[in-house]
Formats: sequence, C-alpha cells, structure tokens
Amino acid sequence: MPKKIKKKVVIVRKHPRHVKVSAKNPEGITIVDQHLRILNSLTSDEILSVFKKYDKAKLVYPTRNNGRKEFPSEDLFDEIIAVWTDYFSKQYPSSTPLDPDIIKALLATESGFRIDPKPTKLAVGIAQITRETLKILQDPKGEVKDFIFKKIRIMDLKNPDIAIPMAVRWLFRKRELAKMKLKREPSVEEIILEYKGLLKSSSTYKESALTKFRGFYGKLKSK
Amino acid sequence: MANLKVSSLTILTLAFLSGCSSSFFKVKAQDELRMELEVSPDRVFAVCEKASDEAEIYMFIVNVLDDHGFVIFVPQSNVLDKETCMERSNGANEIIASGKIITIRGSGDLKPDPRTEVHEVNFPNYGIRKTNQQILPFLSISNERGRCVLQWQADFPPCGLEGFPIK
Repeated sequence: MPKKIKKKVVIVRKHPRHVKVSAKNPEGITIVDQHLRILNSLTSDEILSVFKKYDKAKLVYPTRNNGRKEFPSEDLFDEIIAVWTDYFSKQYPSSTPLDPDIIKALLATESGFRIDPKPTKLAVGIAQITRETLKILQDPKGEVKDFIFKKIRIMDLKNPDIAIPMAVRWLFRKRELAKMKLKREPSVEEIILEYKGLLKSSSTYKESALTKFRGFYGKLKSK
Repeated sequence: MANLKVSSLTILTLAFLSGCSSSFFKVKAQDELRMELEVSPDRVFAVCEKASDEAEIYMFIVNVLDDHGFVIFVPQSNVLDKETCMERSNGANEIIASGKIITIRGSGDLKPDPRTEVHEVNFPNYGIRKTNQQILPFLSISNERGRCVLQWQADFPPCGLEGFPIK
C-alpha cells in the first residue's frame, strides 16, 4: 500500500465550476465561494520513504531487455518506474492506464539512462526536467496544485530516485494537457510530443524528435 | 616530350585535386542497434531549429546527403535551449569545415519510416534536396582529427562512445 501522504487543506476563495446551462447560469459556469481543497504533496524524503515502503507485489514492471543492450544501464531504473507509474495511476485513474514502458522509452530518448548527462541550460538529469517544469511541479497555486512536490532543488534532479517520480507526475499532467488540446484521448506519441513541448509545433523536424522514442518503445513492445 | 610532361603533370594535378574534393557517402559499419556513416564534408551540415511556437525550445539536427541524393535527418532526441543548441551546431559545423572525413554515429538504422512526411532541405553546393523518410537518431559527429560533438557526454577526444566501434 502506498504510504499515506500529508494532506494540507486550503480555502479556495473563488472557483469557477461547470454546471448545467440554465436561466440562472446561461453560460454553464457558476462561481463557488469559500470551499475546501485538499492539497497532496511530497518532499524528497517522503519520495524516498514512499518508494521504500511501497507494496511491490503486484506492480507492472517495464519490459526488461535480456538481449544486447543499447544503453548499459537501461534496466537499472525499472523498479522506480514501476512504483511511480502505479502510484500516480492510483492518484489519476484512467480507462487507459499509463504503460511503464512509455516512461522507460522516454528516459532512453532524454538521457540514454544517464543520471547526469552533459548539462544544458534548459534541463537536468535522467528525465531532462526543465527548470520551468520544476517550478510548476512545486507551485501550490499552479497548474498541478492538486499534487505537488516540495523543497526539491535543481541538483536533486540528478538523483533518479527523485527525478523519475517527478517525470512520471509531469507525464500524467502532459497526458491531461494533450487531451485538452486535442479534445480526444491522446496517443502515446502525442503524449511524448507534449512532454517535449512539441505537440503543436510546426517544425519540419518535429516528427524526427519521435524517431528515437518509436525505435526504443517498439523494441520494448516486441519483446 | 615536354608537352607530354606538362600534360601528365596537369592530369596528375587534376586527379589529385579531384581526389581531394571527391564527394562520398558510405555506411562504414552497422549492427542491429547502431550505425556509423562516413561522408565527405560537402554532404553534411548541422542546424539548430526553433521547434516550438509556444516556448524557447530548439532541436539540433545534422543533415546528411546520401549516395542517392536524398537527405537523411540525424536529430538529437532531446530538445535544447537556444544557447546549447547553437553551441552544438556551431561545433558540428566547425568539425565539418576542418575535416576531410566526417563520421556520424546514430542509433537504429536507415530504414525509411512511412509515418514521416517528405521534406525539402536546401543543401549547400547541391541545392534543394528531398528527404526519403530516413531518420537516424544522433549520437555523435566527429572528424579524422579527433574532434567531436556527442549527444550526452562531454565533447573531448578520444570521443569514446559505448557500443563503438561496431564489431
């Protein structure tokens, strides 16, 4: 069982809510005043503790590569991926659960499973989480306010135990955003494009950003 | 006789010059996971392209002209900030300009991907050339002088890359 996480309750002062269109609410939106919202959050110590105590008996693991490896450490993070995909699937239930192989293939494209790849000004660590994303993931008033992380520093993203759960959380958010943008359930590739910030890109090279993902994910699914 | 000497010298000089500037493309080695291409500098150039209309996100791509006159995209699989991307494309183009044999390493193969669109690329010295749905994810670019740009590791000789040389 996942560890019970701390829940903080805040008062939301004004909040638009969709309601049935009526004479009173002709636009189908009403403003709700003063209600309670539960905030979920995890610090780095709590992330480590949740992982340690997680019931790993019925987890769905990413596909293991028993053949020739493209990256020496490609199977090293399977358990972290499995735990956090399961954890956030329970937080955000969906008719199409997120496949842990998507996370594994994403790490292959972002860093080749290197925990500290050559630094860039944009992103850090195994999942190449950007500084901007780190900020969003910790903003109690931001777009992921229903589940945030706390007190995570940029240098913590060099630790895959911290970076992978954050990437999984972000991918769940990106799936939601892709669904909103496309007004339908996004495909796996569309979720990855949204993660890379390329879903609505008109670049000639947009498709080519997916090639590595397609190749690695395809190999995992064929095993 | 003197004329013949001059003429032989001219032919030799021309042959030498044409040998120096001869254009080539070859698949040097490959296995089921990786591929190594060797090309003359006229057949390759690197670009850094803004990839998003919404954010400052850039992609680093090496364009290679194959022996059938089609463009192969060799893209880095993770997106970059402008500064890193420009550093990378400037570094790659310096490697191309200062080398005679350019080695491009990638993961996967050159099997055309029918899911991708055909694009046109303006190739210096060759004009507009079309892609042939061949995309080789980038790992490194280097020249015979030992200079390199690598996807995830630091760019310094001997430019070692796991899985290479391909056996």
